[in-house]
Amino acid sequence: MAVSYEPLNPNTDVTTTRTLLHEVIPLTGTIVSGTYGGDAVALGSEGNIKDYSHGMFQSVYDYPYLSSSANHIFDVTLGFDESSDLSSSANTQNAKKIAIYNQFSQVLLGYNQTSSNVEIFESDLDITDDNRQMKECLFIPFSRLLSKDQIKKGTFTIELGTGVFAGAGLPFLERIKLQDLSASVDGTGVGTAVGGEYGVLYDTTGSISSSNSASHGVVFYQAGIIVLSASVFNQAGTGPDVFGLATFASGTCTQTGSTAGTGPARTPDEAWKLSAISGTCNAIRHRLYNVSYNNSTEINSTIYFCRMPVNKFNYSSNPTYTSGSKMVIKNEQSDLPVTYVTTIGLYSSNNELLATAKLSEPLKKDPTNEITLRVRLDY
Amino acid sequence: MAFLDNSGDIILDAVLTDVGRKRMAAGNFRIVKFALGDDEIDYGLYDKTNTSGPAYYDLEILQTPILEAFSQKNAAINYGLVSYARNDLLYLPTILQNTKSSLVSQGAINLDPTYNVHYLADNTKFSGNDNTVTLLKADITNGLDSILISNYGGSPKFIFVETGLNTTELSSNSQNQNSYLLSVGLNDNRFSVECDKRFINAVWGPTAGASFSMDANNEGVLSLSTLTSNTTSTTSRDLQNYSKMFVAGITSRLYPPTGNDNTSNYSAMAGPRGAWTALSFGVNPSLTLSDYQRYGKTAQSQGASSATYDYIDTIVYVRGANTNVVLQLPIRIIRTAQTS
Repeated sequence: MAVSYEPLNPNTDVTTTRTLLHEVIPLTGTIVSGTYGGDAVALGSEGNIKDYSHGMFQSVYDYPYLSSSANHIFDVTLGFDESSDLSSSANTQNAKKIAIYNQFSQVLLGYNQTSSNVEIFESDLDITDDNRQMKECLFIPFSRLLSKDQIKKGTFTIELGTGVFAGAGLPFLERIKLQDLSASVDGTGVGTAVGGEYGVLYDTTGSISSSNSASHGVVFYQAGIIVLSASVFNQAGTGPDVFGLATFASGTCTQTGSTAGTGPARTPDEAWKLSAISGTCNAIRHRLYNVSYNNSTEINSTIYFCRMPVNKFNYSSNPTYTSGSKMVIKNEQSDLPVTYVTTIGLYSSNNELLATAKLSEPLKKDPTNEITLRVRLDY
Repeated sequence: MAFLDNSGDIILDAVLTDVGRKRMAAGNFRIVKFALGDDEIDYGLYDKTNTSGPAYYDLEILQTPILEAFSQKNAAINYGLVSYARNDLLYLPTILQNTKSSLVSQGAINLDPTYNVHYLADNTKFSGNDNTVTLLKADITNGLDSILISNYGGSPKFIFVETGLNTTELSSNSQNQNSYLLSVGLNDNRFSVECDKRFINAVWGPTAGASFSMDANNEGVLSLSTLTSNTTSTTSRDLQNYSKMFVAGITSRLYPPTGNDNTSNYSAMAGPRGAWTALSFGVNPSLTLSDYQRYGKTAQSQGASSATYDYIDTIVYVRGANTNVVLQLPIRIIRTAQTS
């Protein structure tokens, strides 16, 4: 390589910046349960839904997951605390449901110092007051591909169908829309726990009649995890832990025998107790109408100011620069030399090329002008 | 790799190279300098006769589409922009291989036009009683001597390379040599030679006492009694598998005598001459039949005879240390066909 090097002064030619990049993430419910499902495909058999032999959670992809084009978008699982009224050794996957709850609580909330038990999720900003506890929860951890560094505060919305389970479109005749209304990007309106900052998800549709204030879950921004109370599907109850909707789920997702074509109608508490995790996850996906949020990516950039003084880089070693040793861009000796910059190479002290940058079009350089090119490397 | 969108504002497309990522992983990523390139530019498109005026001279150049940045080792800057203190330079040095018959008679070799290669023969390999060079000479019937013997063995042969101004607009006298080359720092006191280290492990060059000048009989004389080898190499930062070695550059003293200027009979440069060097190479002794099979061809004929050869084709890059001019030499590493 035949080049002249120009040093970069670390004090005047190099600077660092930090910027936040946001993307809008809209997830329509049809991707989750409709696009690869429908009448001909039973819930849970969609190509973009991956169940595991351990049965502890279900993964949702944006495309049939056996394809290399598929992207993992989120998981769904559920559980309850061992102190829940629903906990019973006779229940289906009782231990696994408790384990799931404990795992999320341990990671996101930590342990209660006085009882040495995991904290109980609450749909408020104070996890120590034991108010508004959520002992039976639905967990939706989003893939880092979507949530990136964190979910942007104040942007999260999830809309769920609360209508009749069976029948095309019927679940969505009635809907509940939850938003982190109180959270703000400046950090107000959010709580802090070991799993990072979290905001409360409020019912903005007022579709649930409840004697309590309308908060039904929390969103952990950095962890990218949604925790919803199972009571979110309760239209007739009087509190977050009361399940009253008779047709929360039915059909294949609640069937108990391998030969049963349809399963019994179940209330949410029955589904939490009697159905397998994957079956209840199928029912929840069937009720997922919409999810949207903005993610945030923190970009740390180093900017190199490549300054081309008037008396530098005025000649080229390009073979076409001369013809018969005479410069093709000059007629006379007094003509000014001209070059055209297309590439910037950034080098280490021992001339190793560490980064390269291309201009979108050639840039004219001659001794009458001084050019500064600003090369930004993002990390 | 696509072209960059050049329909709007100028944008910069920057990427880390493979080396950059490696340095980042190792925790010693530190950028301290930059250089500029113009690889895509064809300066032949500069139309300085355009009657519409200077603003139209570079219209076509400015429309040159630019490829996206890429990250491989050799993706960098092949033809860089250079800085010279003076803005009034009208000529820049060129590099040429000298194959004048007067030099060939003194040991310089030609390119074999049949295969467009210079041969680098591993003469330790025999077929029957005949070594590689003997067989190869019988197969090359064009009368041109184009065979180097590995590690300068036997009768010394070399590739003769010159830098200077290849123009008839300037006399090749010492005054012009000084004005256009020496005084402006455009003379090479050494050349870097980049070879594929898998195939070539030594470069031979002239000793300090060598000279190229006109004698009392107005004939060009190359005083080059021997070549000296250089096996000290550094890994090339631009080319994969290449290493860089240096050989001496000797300032040419080939000036036109009084009266008839016959120096063009001896030099490839029509104008002022800068430096020259003479090159030979050593074949990596660890090359095996499988290397020839993998990187080249085996049991191939090179002429009318029944002799067959194993060979590997490679490119050697010769660069002037000060002038930055580059010459690419196609080399065919060859031996009589072997079984190991």
